Amino acid sequence: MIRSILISGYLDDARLARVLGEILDIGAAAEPSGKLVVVFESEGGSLPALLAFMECILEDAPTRALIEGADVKIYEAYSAAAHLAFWMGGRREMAAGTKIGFHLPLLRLQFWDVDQDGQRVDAQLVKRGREAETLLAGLMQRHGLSEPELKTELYSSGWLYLTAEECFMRGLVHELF
Amino acid sequence: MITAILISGLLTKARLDRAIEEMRHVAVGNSADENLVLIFNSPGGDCFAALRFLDAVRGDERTRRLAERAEVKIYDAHSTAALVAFALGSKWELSANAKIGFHLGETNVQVGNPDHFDQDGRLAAWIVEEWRRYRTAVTELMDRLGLSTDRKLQAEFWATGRLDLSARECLRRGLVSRLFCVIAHRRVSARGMNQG
Repeated sequence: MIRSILISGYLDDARLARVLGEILDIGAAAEPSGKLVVVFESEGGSLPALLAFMECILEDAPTRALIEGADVKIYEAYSAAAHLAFWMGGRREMAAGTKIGFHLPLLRLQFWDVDQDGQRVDAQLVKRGREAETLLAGLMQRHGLSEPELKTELYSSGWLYLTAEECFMRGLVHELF
Repeated sequence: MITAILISGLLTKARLDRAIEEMRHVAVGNSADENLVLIFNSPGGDCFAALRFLDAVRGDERTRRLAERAEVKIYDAHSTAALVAFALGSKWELSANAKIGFHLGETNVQVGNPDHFDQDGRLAAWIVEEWRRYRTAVTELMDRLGLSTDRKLQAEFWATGRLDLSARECLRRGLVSRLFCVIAHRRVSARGMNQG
């Protein structure tokens, strides 16, 4: 069995379910010594899909161990894909000359999600957004991205972009290709 | 070093130049016991660039050996991408939802471009030659894969210029050793993620 997985395109429920299926399939194979390689080429995706995917991984110890020990190769990773790429894996490589982009959680609101009198957003949605924000803060802390300037950029523009070279310099990735 | 290379999107000269650079990099730094994994997710692209890519891979001893031993994982491969995916490697896995499409190739030419047309109005000799080389590469690959002996497939291929094979058909004919995302999807649904 080839122990490499591609995470590409828009990361919605269906796409991430396929990815999870592949991970479980590889985890179930009788090759305990083999390493998982996860290749990213994605502009991001849906926040609920990302959270559901992460929850599925976290609740299963062998799958979690497989993901934590994976090698991650990044051709492109923005938004939810950047979050996943830096959440999983032990060793990372990134395409030289590219960027990664983290951003504050986006909520896609429908008309019925907003209380028309009080202009308040559905509490469940806000809660989910806060969860994602907390996860992002934890991820940034883990990777040494807690500097005030970086936080200022994230919270003023909503996005934090880092070049591959900067990621390498900061030790977020081990090698550029 | 991570020994997996992604070949995705429209296969332009630039895209394939990047892939060969990556292969050279892996060939130099790779330990002998680790196989290269080539991951394909491409609808195809520039036929002539694909030929030059294969020439470059085979023209260098280290990349040739690396490519011959490679494991190939296919999410999507049509036309030029199918040619490259099956021209390289020793073991192939294919997404259960995918199709493989072999194609006789096509090219874009510009009217009035002297590189594309001779003064007498005929297509430039280099285009004719490269296209012939591409067709030969496709037919030789189909021979190797045992697709040339099936008259029905050959009739379809030469009548329409293309041949699509489902993942199951590829497995049945031995083109790939395994389909992925079959059993796994059943396990995922048990975990409650919506598969759309």
